Amino acid sequence: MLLVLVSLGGCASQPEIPKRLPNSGKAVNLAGNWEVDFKLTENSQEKLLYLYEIATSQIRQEQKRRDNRDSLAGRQMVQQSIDDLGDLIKLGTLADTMNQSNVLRIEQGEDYVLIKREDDFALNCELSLSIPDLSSGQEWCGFDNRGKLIFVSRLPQGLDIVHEFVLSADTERLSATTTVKTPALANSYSITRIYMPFEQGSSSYNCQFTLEKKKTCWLGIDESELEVIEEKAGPK
Amino acid sequence: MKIWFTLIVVFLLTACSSSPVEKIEAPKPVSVALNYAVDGAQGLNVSILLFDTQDAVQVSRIYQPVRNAEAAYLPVSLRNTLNETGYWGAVSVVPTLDTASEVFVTGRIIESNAVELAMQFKVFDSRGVVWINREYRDYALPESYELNIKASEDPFQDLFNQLANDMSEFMLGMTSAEQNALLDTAMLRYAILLSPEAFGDYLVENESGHLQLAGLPAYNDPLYNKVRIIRGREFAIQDVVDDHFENFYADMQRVYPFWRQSSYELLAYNNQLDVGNSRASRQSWAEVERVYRLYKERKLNEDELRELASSFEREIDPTVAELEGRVIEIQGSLLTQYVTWRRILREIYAQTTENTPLIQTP
Repeated sequence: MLLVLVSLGGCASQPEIPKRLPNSGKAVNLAGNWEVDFKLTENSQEKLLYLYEIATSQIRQEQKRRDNRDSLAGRQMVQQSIDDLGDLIKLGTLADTMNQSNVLRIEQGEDYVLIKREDDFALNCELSLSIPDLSSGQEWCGFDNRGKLIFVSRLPQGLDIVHEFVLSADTERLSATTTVKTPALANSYSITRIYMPFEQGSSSYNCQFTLEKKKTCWLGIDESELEVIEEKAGPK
Repeated sequence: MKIWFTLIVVFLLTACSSSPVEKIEAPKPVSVALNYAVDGAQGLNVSILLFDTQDAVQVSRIYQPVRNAEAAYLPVSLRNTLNETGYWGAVSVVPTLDTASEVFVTGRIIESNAVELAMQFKVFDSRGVVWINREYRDYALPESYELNIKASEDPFQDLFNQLANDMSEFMLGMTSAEQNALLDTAMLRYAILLSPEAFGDYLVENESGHLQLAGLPAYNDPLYNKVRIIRGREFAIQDVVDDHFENFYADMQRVYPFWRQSSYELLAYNNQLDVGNSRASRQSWAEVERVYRLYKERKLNEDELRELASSFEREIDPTVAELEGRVIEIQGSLLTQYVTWRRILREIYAQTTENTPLIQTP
């Protein structure tokens, strides 16, 4: 029965949650607007379905073998596998909810990276902060020495969440991988989305919050961009 | 009397990201009842300056906007508390110190998270006499974060109650003559700001370095009457400032209590957690999902707090008002408008008093 879980974990697992970053990471410029490239992005639902089908098939075969031997221990192990499969599906579903944004707007300065994610909370990283060893209730982030931007959160109940952002060599694609791990399962679960850059154009949808008007949204270029365009165009 | 008990508190919030997990023994919150005036307001006006966040503990650049939002939100909580006591005249939150007030409050946020609020307060009067200069600290009770948090009072209300009580106690210890002297000193400080040559001699510095009345302008002094009129005009900009703070406070009420609540629950989880054992054990999936929901809620609230903080600092609607037959329009941030308005008032005063003779000097 362990074989079932190992093979299942093999499909879903990623390397262990990093405990800390190297002292001198290599910062890469990720700033800009990014939209999901559906062509290159894995379909999370399909992935989960695929894992589910493989695992249930393996469990059925194992059950058949155990049934033939008719042992109580065997039936319990099959039940355990079914439970584990349920947990994996839950983990996958949770990971999916953590990596669903179709648009990322990344602001980056010398000492910080701010990733605003559509329909989700922003990921903030202050690069100058010293990074402690990870323990429960903590977060840290930074670039590793290959230019990968990593955000790690270690939450209560042993829930670990890792977001990793890697820019392609031609800077035309950005990979965003979210890995989730809990003590409930031996293996972690990862899901990846690929993003491509886009220019904020005249058809873009902008929102701004002000105390007087609250949240207002509009179609088109916002005022600050308009100023840049006017500056480039020069005096009329 | 303080009863101390052991509560392991994990200070995740103060540093936002990358914070070390610090465990301390926190004292039990002390309940402080607010003292109310029996005979109504005493008439001293209080100006509360936007709180300072410069030396706050472990505030990262990313987290600073949240602290900035608190710096504008918490003074309004204090203002509401002082108003509730009935001891004071007009209590205002101001972006820069208002010279004409009788009592000034400045505050520095030392520590602010869902569990603890620590502030350094300095209260002084128009003479420069320091009433209070010390640290105040309060700890939230778990009951403060019950479901109906919007209807319940601030988890750190005791801290504001304590400061309000200390202020009223000091004020009640003054004679009415001293209080009247404060009123006159405040008005003269304002008059000196407008016209130092006309009013500079009415206030002198004593051995302690405090301002002291050396005399008063005549009751019918036309220049001094002008000063009073100009001072009255300042209330116009104060209305704009008050509206701005009210809007901001109302918006913060939609977010800030919930941010504190989700933060508190996450901290409570950490407190219960024995890291070594729990990570090895199999956890209930429902609990794992609950933790993530709390975490996400806190993060979304933080985003909104940042948005609020930056909107507070952005431009506000232009203020249009009639002054001495002229229509004045001022634009820019709250601070810009406040400073501009006061500059215009001084200019108007200078123009309208050019030909007014000085009639009285002490």
